Amino acid sequence: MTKKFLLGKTPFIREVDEKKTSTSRMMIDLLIALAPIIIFGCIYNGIKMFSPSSLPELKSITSFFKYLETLYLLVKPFVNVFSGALFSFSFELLYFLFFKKIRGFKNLLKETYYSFAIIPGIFIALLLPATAPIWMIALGCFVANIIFKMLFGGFGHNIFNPALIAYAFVALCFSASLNSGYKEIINLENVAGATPLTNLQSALTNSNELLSKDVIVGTYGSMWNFFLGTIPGSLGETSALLCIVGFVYLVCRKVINWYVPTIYVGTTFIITLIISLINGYGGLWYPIFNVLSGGLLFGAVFMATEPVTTPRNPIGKIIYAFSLGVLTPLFRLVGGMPEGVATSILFMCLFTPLLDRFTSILRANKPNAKNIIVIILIATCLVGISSYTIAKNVQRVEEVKPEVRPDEESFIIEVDGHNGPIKVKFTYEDDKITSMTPISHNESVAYSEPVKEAFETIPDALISAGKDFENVPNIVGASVSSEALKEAYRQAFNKLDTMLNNGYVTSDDEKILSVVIRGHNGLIKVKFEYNGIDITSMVVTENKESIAYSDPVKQAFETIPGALVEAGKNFESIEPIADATVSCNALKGAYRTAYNYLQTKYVNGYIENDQNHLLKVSVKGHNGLIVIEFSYDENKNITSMVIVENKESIAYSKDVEHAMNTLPGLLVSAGKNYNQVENVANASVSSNALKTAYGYAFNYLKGNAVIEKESDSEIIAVVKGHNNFIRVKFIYRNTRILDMKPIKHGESVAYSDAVKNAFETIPGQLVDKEYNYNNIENIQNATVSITALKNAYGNVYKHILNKALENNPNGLMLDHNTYGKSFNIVVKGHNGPIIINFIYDENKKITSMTPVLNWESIAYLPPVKDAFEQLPSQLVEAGSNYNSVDVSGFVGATVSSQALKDGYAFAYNYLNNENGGH
Amino acid sequence: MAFNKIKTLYINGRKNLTSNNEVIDFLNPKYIYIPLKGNVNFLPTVKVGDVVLKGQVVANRNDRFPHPIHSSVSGKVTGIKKMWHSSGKMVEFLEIENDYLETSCYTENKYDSLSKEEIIEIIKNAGIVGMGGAGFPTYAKYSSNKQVDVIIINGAECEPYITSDYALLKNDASTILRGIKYLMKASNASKAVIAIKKNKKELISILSDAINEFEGISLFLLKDVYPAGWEKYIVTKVTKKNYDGLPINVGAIVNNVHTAYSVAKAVEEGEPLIERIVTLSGEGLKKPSNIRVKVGTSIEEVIEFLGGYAEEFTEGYMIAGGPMTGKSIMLENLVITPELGSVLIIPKKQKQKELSCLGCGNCSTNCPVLLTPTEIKLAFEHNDIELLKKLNVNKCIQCGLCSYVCPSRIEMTEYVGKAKVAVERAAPNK
Repeated sequence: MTKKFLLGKTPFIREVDEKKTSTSRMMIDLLIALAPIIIFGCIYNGIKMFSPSSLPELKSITSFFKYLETLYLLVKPFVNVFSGALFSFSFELLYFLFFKKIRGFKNLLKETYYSFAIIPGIFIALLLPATAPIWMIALGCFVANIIFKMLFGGFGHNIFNPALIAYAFVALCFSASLNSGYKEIINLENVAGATPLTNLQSALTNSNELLSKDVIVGTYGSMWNFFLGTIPGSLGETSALLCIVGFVYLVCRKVINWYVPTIYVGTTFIITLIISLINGYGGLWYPIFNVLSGGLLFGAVFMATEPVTTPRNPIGKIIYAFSLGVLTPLFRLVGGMPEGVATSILFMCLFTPLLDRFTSILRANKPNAKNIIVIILIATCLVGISSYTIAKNVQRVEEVKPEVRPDEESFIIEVDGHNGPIKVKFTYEDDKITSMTPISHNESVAYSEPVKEAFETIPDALISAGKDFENVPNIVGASVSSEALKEAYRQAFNKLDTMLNNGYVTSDDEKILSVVIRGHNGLIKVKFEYNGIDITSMVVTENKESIAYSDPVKQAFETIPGALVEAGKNFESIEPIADATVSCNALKGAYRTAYNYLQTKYVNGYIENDQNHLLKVSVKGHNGLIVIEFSYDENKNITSMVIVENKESIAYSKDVEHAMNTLPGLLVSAGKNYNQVENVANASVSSNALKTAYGYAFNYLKGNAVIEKESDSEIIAVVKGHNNFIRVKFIYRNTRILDMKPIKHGESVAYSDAVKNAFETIPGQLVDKEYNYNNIENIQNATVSITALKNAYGNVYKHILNKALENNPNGLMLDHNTYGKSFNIVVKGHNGPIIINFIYDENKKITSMTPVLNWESIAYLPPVKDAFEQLPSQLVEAGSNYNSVDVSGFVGATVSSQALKDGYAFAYNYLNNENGGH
Repeated sequence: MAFNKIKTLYINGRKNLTSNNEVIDFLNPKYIYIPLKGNVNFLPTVKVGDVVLKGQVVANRNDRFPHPIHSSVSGKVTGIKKMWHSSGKMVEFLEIENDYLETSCYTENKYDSLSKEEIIEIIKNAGIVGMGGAGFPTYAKYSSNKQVDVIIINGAECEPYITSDYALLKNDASTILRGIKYLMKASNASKAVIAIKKNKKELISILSDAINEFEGISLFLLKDVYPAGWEKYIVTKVTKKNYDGLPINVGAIVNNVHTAYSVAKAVEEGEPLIERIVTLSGEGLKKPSNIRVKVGTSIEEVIEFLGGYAEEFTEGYMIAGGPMTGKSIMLENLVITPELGSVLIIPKKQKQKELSCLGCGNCSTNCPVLLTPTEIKLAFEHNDIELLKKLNVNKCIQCGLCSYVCPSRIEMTEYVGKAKVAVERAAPNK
């Protein structure tokens, strides 16, 4: 018999031998499952470059070299994947050649093939963006194949998923160049732009805006784009659909277990759903977004199932997948890398041997108490982690509410000193001035001892003198400064006195007004509840009146408040009670203060809220408050105007009804020409109110500061901030803003140091810089808030200058520094005031003329630019013959050039008429 | 509960090589061989040169479960020879030369009035052992005082290629059913089930007709999975109870189809265990068949009778038993013992060399007793006996599935088997 019987090992049939399975077939199946993703990623990322926005650039390509480069970029994704595979293969081949001493090319190829060398390379190419340079892929392949695979013992012995650890390595080393890529060759911003999750993370950390679907998802179209994969991201991770197709294929081919990806994705979904529900993000979009973005599906299907570095035991796999599901949202919310998938998988790789050991024992034995305790402990840890995640997140959302900053009890007075204005800050408590601090002046404290002494002693002396401040003696040799300080105190004293006599509003939290007024024996503090513009209740919270001794006074306090509220707008008709007239009048005064305050509060429109692209503005209508909601799009164009509340006589007047029904639509379609929308006859008050509100919203959204309230020393303006509106109070005197104080805003001062810093320092800086306010220092991570504050300042400054110019059409002197022989004037330009600085010599001849601040269209209209560049020097040169300077040459800039000429004329006349100024 | 579930896997049965063929008789071998050693030792009762009759006791089992072993032919003891035993070892056999006279020394029993004890005695004296592969003396299962609710007749044949139980059931269902009746009587069990795989449609129709005449016997259909024929799997499925130790703990006794057949033969005709059907199959044979042979026949004679090997067969395995659990035999002088149900000739077709474990966990996922072979292998390589005990390596039934599914072609079953031995060896010292 020639038959040979071998000594074999049981079992004698193997799936491998029947070609039902094999390690190499699993790897080939993996590649087959990846193929659609690779092809889609390549085609999508290649073609994306030829999107409409980059077409002009492509058309402008002329040189052959540039043309080749563009072609190269088109096939770059293919090149990436191919070179990834090639590099990985070559590195391992070389390793086998030099370190394992394998000889013979065929043997080397076989060895490298059975080490499945190309897989990490392909994954690296897929994990990196399409713009990643080739050298970076080569480096990644080296790190993956040599350092984290071969040096750990080769295939089957590596601890970390080689592709993922290489990706983490590259991302850590070159995060900057990962984002820039090939931008210098062709504008690829639309290819490698910020990924959705980087947006999510920055939305979470840099602002406290309530997350909204519009912001996070809307930027990329709709959730469908996430599902299909037409969003920015790395080469392979974006298409959820193709990942699911790959998943189904791999499960059918028994390459991966169905439950690992399912549990992973499911846990992430549930945790983010809980986060969404607790935080009120509204519905399922947040969990779906979390599942579809950041390569979660790619990671779950292709990375979390990578066999070598994941547990072998089914229970281990389940715990592993569950932990990944918990850790991914955690890392996304609190971690440094936005996607969270790579981090959590790498983290869990470390636990694979531990999980295997523990679960193998667990699975082979009947469950006993100890095992159950361990499982419960693990579950508790994981649940603890997730609750921490959720709690952390909730905390952030709580901080989101707009902050009400109590108005500090202080005011600023400016008086003229010897060398210019002196700005003094006073604080007060009840009816007493408690401190007096000169905050800026040009007096000669550095040269003159008496002046120094005056500034050091007089404020304190005035404070301690109180109402007898007039007796405080002036300092000899500094009488002008002393007198100026005394004048400042006098003004402050009188101002406080007037305020107390008339009553003033100390706080307004949109429901309750607090008013202080002087009574017979001291201050009376009253709280008014109100709804819209109607006062609904009046409660005296503090008083020093003789209620205990005098029945009339007692009666007054018991009945008058009710009567006043009852009388409403006819409150003036309430008669004082005999023997308690002072108290009665004080109460009436308080009511009057509140009444007038509310009557004027909404006249120019009043912003209530601005979040989630929804702007709420109240305005005073005919019968009461009209509350309107505007929604607006990405470009801040108003898309709808909805009246949510009103008291107008719709039921009685057809005209009013018509106005309320049609005007919003007309206004929205009119857009910037809203002012030309005609009022509805017999409903002009309502019509005007709607127009006012629309104008408010329109200007606000255009980034302008909207002035809500204005008096001769105070302006309250509102400007759009990063998270919500910012309401700022300005104190001004003539043409100078003395103080700027944000009184209500929703910016992230509570947890962003940058924003907090900005709100503390920027207003002061703006006030100090005056017309140079544009040059304030920027603070990183608070740019939006700073721009908003700057806009507020600029707009209000422009407004008060315009107002001053109305009375002085020829121009206005702002300040004159006689020592520096320079002065600033303001004249009316085309778009707003123009501030010009002049310097003159001993002969009062103007030697320099510099426009320092203007709103003219220099950036858009070349003639205007020319006028601003050429005219000042021409005028200075012409000197007294300035009138002969021809301005007609600046066609299209006549107003601006004439303004400059007027400015020169004003300066020239000023110098020559004033005999040296002062 | 998930922890106690027995994992199973579908394996291609390859049964059509033999299942549709008629059973061939080969009852006149030149020699038969009686094992003197095997898994257990036997003491011969005859000497070289003695003349023996068919059915004569020629050896006795020499341990806790004594029973006789009979000559299946009449003839002369010609010597003691080293041959291959189905347990995969070469052992000494008593060689008996056939005189082809078939002179038997047993007579028909009167079975109508037999008591429980008498049946057990008949089974013991007929030398009937578990013919499904274990070779455990059948009477020992019935000697327990514990309550028996159900007799389970295992006809699952979950390993590929093997169809001997199938052929027997198809050809002689009524004898088997009568044998089951005797077993029920021997155990006082009120019911019995025949467990077969649900894909054996022909068998199901034959049996469901036949069992109508027998009260208390029913069919139990198993999924076409491996290891559906594992005793614990069947008992758990039939009784719906989990148990440790022997099936008797949940009131069940499991016997093979062949065993039931031999019981009927012994009770009715007084014939001891001297014949069985063996599946000779595999791609290496010219004519794979089920063949009725005398117990003790050398496989060499049988293969010759069947026309030898397939022409393309040059190198491969001869397997005593099924492909999943059987032993490879290196020479053709394998002796057919009562527990040997199949001999396979399979050509070598290794498609892939052994690679590093890629950690897919298929071995663990498919393990019927929920072990994790990769961890066992690690612990074994580190000689960590304590850890091996914790990993419960003793539970391994050596079904071979872990090696079967391994994509890297690692000899997992072998590692686990070695680990099991290591633990058993270490046990007395502890």
